[in-house]
Amino acid sequence: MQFYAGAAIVGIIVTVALLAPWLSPHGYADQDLLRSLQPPAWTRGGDWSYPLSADRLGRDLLARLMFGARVSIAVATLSVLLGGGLGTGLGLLAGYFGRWVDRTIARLIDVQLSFPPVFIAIAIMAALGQSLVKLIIVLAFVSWVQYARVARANTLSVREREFVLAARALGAGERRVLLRHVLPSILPPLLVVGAVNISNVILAEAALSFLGLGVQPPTPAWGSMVSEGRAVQTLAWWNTVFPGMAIALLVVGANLLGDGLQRGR
Amino acid sequence: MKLIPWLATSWRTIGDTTWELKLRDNVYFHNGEKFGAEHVRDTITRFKDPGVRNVYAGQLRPVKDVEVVNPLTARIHTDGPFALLAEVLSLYCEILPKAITRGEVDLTKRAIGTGPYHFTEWQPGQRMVMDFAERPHFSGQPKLRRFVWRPVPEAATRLVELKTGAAHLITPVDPIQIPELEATKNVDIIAFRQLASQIIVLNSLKVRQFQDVRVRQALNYATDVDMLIRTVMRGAAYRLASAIGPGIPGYDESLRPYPYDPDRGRQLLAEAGFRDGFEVTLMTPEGRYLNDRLASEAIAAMWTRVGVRTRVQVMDWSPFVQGVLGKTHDAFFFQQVGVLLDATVSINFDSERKGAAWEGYTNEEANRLIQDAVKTLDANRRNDMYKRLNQILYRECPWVYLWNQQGVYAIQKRVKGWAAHTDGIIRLGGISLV
Amino acid sequence: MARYLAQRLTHLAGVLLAVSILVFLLIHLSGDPVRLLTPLDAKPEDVARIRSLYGLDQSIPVQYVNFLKKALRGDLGESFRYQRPAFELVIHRLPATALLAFVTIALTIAIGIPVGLWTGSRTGSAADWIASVATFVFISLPSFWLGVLLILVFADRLRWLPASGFESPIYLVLPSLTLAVYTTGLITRLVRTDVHDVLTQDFIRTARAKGLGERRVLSRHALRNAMISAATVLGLQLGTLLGGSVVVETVFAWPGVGWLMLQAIQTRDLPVVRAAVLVVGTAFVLINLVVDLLYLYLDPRIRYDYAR
Repeated sequence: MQFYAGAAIVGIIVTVALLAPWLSPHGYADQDLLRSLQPPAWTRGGDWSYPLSADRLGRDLLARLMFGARVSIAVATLSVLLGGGLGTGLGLLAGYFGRWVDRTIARLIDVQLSFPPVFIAIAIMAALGQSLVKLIIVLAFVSWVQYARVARANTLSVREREFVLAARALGAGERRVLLRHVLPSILPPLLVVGAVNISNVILAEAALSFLGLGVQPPTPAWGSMVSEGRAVQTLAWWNTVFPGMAIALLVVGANLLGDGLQRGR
Repeated sequence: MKLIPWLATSWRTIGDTTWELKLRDNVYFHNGEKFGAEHVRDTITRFKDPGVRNVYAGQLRPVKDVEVVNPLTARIHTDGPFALLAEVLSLYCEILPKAITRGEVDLTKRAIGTGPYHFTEWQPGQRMVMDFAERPHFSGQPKLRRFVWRPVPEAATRLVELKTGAAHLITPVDPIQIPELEATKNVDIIAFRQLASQIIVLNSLKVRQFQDVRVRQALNYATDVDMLIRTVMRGAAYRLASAIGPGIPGYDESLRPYPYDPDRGRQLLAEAGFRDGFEVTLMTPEGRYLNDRLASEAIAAMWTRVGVRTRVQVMDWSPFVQGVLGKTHDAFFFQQVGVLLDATVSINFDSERKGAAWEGYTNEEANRLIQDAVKTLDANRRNDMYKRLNQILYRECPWVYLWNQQGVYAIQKRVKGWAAHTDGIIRLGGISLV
Repeated sequence: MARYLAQRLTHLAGVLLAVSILVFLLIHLSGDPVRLLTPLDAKPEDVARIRSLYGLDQSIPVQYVNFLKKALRGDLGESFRYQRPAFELVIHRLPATALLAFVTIALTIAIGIPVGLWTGSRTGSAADWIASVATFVFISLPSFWLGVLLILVFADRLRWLPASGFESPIYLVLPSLTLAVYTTGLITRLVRTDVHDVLTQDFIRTARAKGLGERRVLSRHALRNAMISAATVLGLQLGTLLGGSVVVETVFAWPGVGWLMLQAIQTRDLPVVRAAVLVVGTAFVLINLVVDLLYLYLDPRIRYDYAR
């Protein structure tokens, strides 16, 4: 049930993202300054050529939402996969092998955690320039620790369980034990962390945009759209509420999906 | 810009290399010292001391020494004609008491001045407190007990602080918030025209197309500044015709802004041999100037329409500045550096001095005018020279001329006796509450 | 135990050393601090003089060694921007941030854990669905947007609460609420999932079959298990919050470390960034230590791995 609900929501968003060039009434960068902050079609002053209103530069909000779906999904998925993969791998190794492996990784985590994410983001972007790829890397870079810690903690409590001990006693190689026995059993909480992290990453993108380190214009991303709209929140609520709703929808969908997967539907 | 007599009541030149300042009598520092010519001397000596972390020391490099003629007269000797001494002093050089120039008090911990309110407390980046000074001040008897200054970085929060009465005065105000504030009962908007110009600097060292004056003119024709002011700036800006705007020596009211004429722009580009246009990256900071990023995005779209395909890139301030100084940006949204023509603005056009925001513009006559004007003490003649410079810059447009932005304050109607100053300094003297 | 602690603390020194080197490199990679210290219209000779007055004309390794020598004597340098000891500036800002962090975590625990336990023990029910969707929405609200919204409602419209600054405890309400919405959503989710997982495991079925009451099942087994991941995430969140929530501190003009650090980073105020990162880093490491000790208490299967 949850799985299907989640799949439906995510499916719709992904479809819209894929079909954006054909569905969208306007280009996401097309400006019409005279339509600056034109309200949604159903309110006074709106018209149906710009159904969900226009932003400060008179760009169609619907078009930006549709194309923004591409950016937000890409940023979220890639950085979660990247950060999740890195973190899970390291956490697994740390928890399973213990000793110096664990100590080294623990130090790495400490160093990483000591750095405020903003500092990392500003330093990387200022040194190398702001771009979408760097944004993804920054977001992955600041999130891997979460996976690593959860993976390590769970591996620690799993590795002495009967089924792992049994596998080892039966002469299974370390790699096999890790991948076939330990990994699957620690995956459920990691999936939840991953699903939660989708929102995390989108929010981080929004926060970076708030600090002037978002995606480059005219690229639309949902988080950046909320951030850009906040200056006109009292004047044009639609500029923040629609992208905000889009974020919430994606997060709900991803989490339902994550829950469903974990539960085997 | 016009100087108002303050601690100095009058000033004049004696010969080519001496300035004489007459000082105000009966002025006391908050620690009790009576203000006089010795303070002027000691302050300038400290100002020029290479061991003091004063970032402006070079501005007074031509000053040789200060002579105390009598307690209320100081003569400043320079090593050549120094036309804008008074302006430089008023902008950069606050007069300090001996307690500070002798090093008994640390200026960074306790400021001591002569104003109607004295320094009480400073928590860096958090709040600064000033209390009324017992002694009457020449700018008006202080009417309030205490002023508290607080940084509130988020515009929406700042607005609410004013609306709810927690703050009496806020600045800056995003122009888009003005209608909401005007609809608020207890609030007034006070706006003034800032001196510094918003411009787009074209880097002809990096983009060879910009070496052709027709290309630079074409971009001025292609930029619909009136539309930008009306929409992006919500009216909170004043259109500029050229590099030197009103209030700065050399302003020429007969210059008319380049009209918005994209066809003319296209034609000029074609004449210059760029019928198919070219690509440019426009750099902009975000949040440094009013609507900097939005304006850049809109301008990029306008340029693209005439064939100059423009991509906007937002940059963190530090690398942005590095790019300006390193002359590595193609073009950038910027505020003209400084407001003193001689000392600051003009170095943007002097291909020999190559100032902070000089990005390749070269014109022999401009160089000569700039270098001669600094040494010309006669204000009228100097003004004529700058006017000539202004006309050259108008025709040759090393920049795309945009606007002077408004400095906007929102203030409680209860606050009386306050006016904005173009230098952006908030003077507390006459303020009262009703 | 004592040996374990001592060892962890010596590691702290190593971490701080690595952190200080990285900060140094990153700051220098990301732009020249001197050009932000000096106005654009400063004369070139002033720029050069300021550079040498701040010791920034030396090579980066030399600068670092100089810093290290001073740091070992307990001097973290003076802020470029404020001309005050950097350490003092950071310590001055720490209480506001710590207070905000602890209040936020307390709110989170007080709401998130009971709700998570409750919904986790009846997954699939209508209440669970409602709570789930609510938590999803909670974790998808950008904090600056939520913060501004709360200000507009509670400070502007209703005039119940102050909008920004920190003068008395009442100023804590809006910022901590803004932060707690996210962390509560997170913890509720996590506890719910863990509780659900535990309750469907064999040993619980056995315990139930043996006639163990539902309340005891929850408190003895479910809660304890759920607390493992909850402690991890809460520890991380607390660490993050102690670093100062840059966004929320900016929106509420909260005089904390996050805002100070943001300003310092933006102005490349190297000594302040360094001091802030070192102080916050120490806090992180210490919290990690506490979390690891909590693990030991919660799950005795985990031994003193570090100490072996």
